[in-house]
Amino acid sequence: MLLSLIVFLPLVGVALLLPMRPENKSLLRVTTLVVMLADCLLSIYLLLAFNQSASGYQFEENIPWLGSLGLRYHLGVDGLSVLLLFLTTLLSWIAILSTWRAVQLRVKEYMIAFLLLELGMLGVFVALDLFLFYVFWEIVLVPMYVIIGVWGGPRKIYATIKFFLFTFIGSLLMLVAILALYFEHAGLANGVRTLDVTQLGNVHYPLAFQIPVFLAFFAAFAVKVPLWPLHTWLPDAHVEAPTAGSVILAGILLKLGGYGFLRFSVPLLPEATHYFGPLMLTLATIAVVYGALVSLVQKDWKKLVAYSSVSHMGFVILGIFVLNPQGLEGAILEMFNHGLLTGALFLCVGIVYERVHDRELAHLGGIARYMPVYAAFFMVFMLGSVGLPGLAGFVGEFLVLLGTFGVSSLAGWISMTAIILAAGYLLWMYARVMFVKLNTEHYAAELVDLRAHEVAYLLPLLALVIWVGVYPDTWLNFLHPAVSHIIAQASAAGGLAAR
Amino acid sequence: MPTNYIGIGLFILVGMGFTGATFAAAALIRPSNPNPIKLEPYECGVPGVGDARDRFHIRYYVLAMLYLVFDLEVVFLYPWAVQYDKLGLFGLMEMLVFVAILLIGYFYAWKKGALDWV
Amino acid sequence: MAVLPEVVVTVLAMLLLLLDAVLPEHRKSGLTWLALLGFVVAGAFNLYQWGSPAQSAYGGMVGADNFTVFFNTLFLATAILVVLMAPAYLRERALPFGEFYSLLSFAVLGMMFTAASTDLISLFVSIELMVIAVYILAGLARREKRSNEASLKYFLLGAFASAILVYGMSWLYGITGQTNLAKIAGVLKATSLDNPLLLMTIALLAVGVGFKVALVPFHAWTPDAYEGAPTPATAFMSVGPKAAAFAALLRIFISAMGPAQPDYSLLFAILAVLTMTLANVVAIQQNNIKRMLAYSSIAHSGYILVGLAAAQPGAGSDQVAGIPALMFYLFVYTFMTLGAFAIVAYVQAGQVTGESFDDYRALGRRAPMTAIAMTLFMLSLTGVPPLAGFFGKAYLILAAVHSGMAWLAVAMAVNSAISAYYYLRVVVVMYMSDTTERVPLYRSPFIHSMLAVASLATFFVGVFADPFLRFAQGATLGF
Repeated sequence: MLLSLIVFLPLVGVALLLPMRPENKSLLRVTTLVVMLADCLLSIYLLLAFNQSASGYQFEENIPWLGSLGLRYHLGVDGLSVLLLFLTTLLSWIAILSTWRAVQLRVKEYMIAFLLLELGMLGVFVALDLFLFYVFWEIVLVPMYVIIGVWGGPRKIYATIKFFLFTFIGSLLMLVAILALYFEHAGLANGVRTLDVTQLGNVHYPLAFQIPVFLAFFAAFAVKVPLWPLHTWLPDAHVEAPTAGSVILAGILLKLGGYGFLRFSVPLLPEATHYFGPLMLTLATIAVVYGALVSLVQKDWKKLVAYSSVSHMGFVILGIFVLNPQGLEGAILEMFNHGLLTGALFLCVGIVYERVHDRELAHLGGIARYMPVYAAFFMVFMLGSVGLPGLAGFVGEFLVLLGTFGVSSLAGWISMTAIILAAGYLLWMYARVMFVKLNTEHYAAELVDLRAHEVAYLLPLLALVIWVGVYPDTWLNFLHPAVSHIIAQASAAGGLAAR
Repeated sequence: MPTNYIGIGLFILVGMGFTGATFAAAALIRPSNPNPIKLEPYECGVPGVGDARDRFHIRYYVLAMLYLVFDLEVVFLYPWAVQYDKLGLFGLMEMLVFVAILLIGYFYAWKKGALDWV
Repeated sequence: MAVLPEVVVTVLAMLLLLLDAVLPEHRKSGLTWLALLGFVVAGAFNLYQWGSPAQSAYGGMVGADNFTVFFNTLFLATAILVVLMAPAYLRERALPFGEFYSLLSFAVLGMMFTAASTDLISLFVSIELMVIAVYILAGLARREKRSNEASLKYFLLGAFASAILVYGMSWLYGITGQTNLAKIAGVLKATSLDNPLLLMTIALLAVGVGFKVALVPFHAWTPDAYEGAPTPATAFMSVGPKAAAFAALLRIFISAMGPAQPDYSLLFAILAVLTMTLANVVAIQQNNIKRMLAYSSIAHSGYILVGLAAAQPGAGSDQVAGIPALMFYLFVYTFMTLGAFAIVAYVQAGQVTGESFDDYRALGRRAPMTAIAMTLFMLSLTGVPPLAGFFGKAYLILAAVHSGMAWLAVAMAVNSAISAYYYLRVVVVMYMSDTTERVPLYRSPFIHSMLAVASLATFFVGVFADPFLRFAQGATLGF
């Protein structure tokens, strides 16, 4: 029941909000925050109660749902999903706090949209029936579409429709693939009709079937990640989205793609994974370098962070498709870290934007003089994103590169350059925004240092960034059984060892 | 099977050929003498007055439709009357229901003023 | 007693006609209650028959089985929802209550008999009873030129389609010498399939019914007819006759011709792809909500047809066969489409036109609950989970994949994505744009309860789809 409780607690929040008067904004905000904090506490309890050494899924719930089709309401978590579940509940309440003051328009709808968004994201990470997974996957789409479209910037409608259409086309192709899997499994397993992940993996599908299904899954997951060249919706969506939307988008929505690859593409379609492995590595390497290069030339602060996401998520794909323990654990940890760090960077951008309503790098400068505490927080997150040892970003990228060199030193060397480039664009950005002197003088009066609630949401992120950087084992321990299970599935079916 | 259709195909071909040939022959033989009088409508020797596409008042249509309904009723009444002995009481009840339904429509038309000749 | 629900609806239609003639003008709004009562009673009788053994009446012309019960449920639900959405609109526009309800009842009666027909003759007569009533419904606003246009266009093309349909039926009769569907099936089973006459018959019947359900390229009448007709009539047209025509399609192609197993699935698959693609692309360019919904309704005909293309005759008991998918989708489609049209009627009721996208500006602030309901319907039409439309589409895609037509499934998926563009436009206009004018919206408990029912159905048929899937599956066991 615990997982259902965590997933559907936001729905309780929606039920609480519905009868409230729209004018009573603080009550709406506080209720949402309390519900989300409660959800976060529940997920922390889940982390503590989770048995790190056991393999397989824990806290399972399995009841018939669409019984006539053999589809079930099957929830469960392993080490991979439990981390992402925690990340989701954490970033959700942080996102709400970050727009505590910035969003004054239609607060009630805003809060409801975020609660539904959280519900969808949590559901994606715990669903073990592919059909249920798809339902949650699509639920995520609508609140995000509304959040960008209603509370977004000037080109919000273009951005939000682009976001929706890109992801929707991808997911519909995935739906066809899911249903094809349903029948293929029934054909191979004596007519047992199911979409249960734990059962789908027990069957060996022919390669000719795996390839189109892999491509359809790729359409859905690669758009979400987003993998070059399917990333074009991301900068638009990020630039137009409100801060909280960006945080969730970068922090969690992008992880849905990586999670999809890890949970479905790789274990269920091992031969297609090997077949497409070189292609995926190539695309990921391009994404890593391309994202970094494009970040270097951005004039818009938020767009810079957005493109850096393309680069960092490229590392995740790289780590997944090298198919060795270091790569996979690095990829998962990189997802977790990227959620913390890029989320934090977007929050930092949002904090300044909320004060001066400007994101042009050329207009800003010397902020450190006016906001010293902010500058300190921002520096840690920036350095973490660069990959400074001792902070979170380093561990993930290091593991991914370790895994990559084991497979292809060419991809490894090329990806390495992205870390150097990251140091370039992030340090340069920091210097331009924080040091020298303020380019637009009248902003000075607006640049008030961090408020209490802002410190309140940045502190846990800071703590986690340092924790992961200094003692990553706490988190890696969750991953060992899950990763070895994925690798076993990926190599057992075809009798293939990692190349 | 398709051979059965050869006759039909030939018939179509001959039919079209004959029509075409006749027109072609006429076009070759006839004298050509265009004249406006040739285009006038001719009716019993009297020159035509007004437009042939005249509008009729809506009440004619209503009457025509009501007539049609009761005309068709008779189509059903005749076979029923012929077979009355065999159909018996059930047949009688069915026909009464049928007539009652028509009467409701008649009543409705009456109430709506469809029968008033304003 | 097999036709008890039909008898109730007949009596209701007569009673409405009589009372309309007798009652004074100011009492006529009471007819709404009578119509509701009549349809509810008929619905109760209808549901009572679920699961009872198949019966037949009128010398084998009409049958009563689970298939009939399913479609009657659909039709009576449609009728009830239309009756609920109509009063506000009718009163505002000074349209006649009595005629509307009684024509509605006659059309519903025709629909019910269409689904129940087991003979070509009764099938054709029922279809005509249905469409003639609907022609008049479309032209009910007789002082409005668009309504006249709608009625006339619908009538002319409808008559044309009926002629082709009955011509196809006569070919079927010519081949088999039978009009009873079961007997036709018996004769066809014995004849050779490469009979060119049979091919011609299939073509004629497909064209005839194609007109009725508005398949591309037989759809040209739809946008004009839907735009011009009074909105409650449009709502009814887009759901009722379409569902009935699909019932007829199933009766003819599955009951009668199924056992011969002619390979028509490619024909229907191509028609389906053509229909949904063209309709979706054209719908993007519409600025009138009613026209947009008309094209959306054409597109949905295409989706529904996927079920027929995927249907393998004789596989009716299989849980993922195309026919239950088709019927489940019709069920879902009914609620979301009626809901969307009800909101058009609702927004229109207080205004002169109220049909353009601009009239929905900032509806999210002017009428929050209405806007939420509209969002729900639009998302469900798009096929976003967990709403009913998604499960309908997923089930159809399931059937298409199952019958080995993955390309059809992909075409449907891509089309859903295209359709997202114009459905979401409504949401964009309602929530993401502003307006200074504040047109007061009409208040009517009827339309509010209708919207509540349709929204709840759109939501719950989705999340708890299983009983409804079983309902559709149970209804096809007769095949």
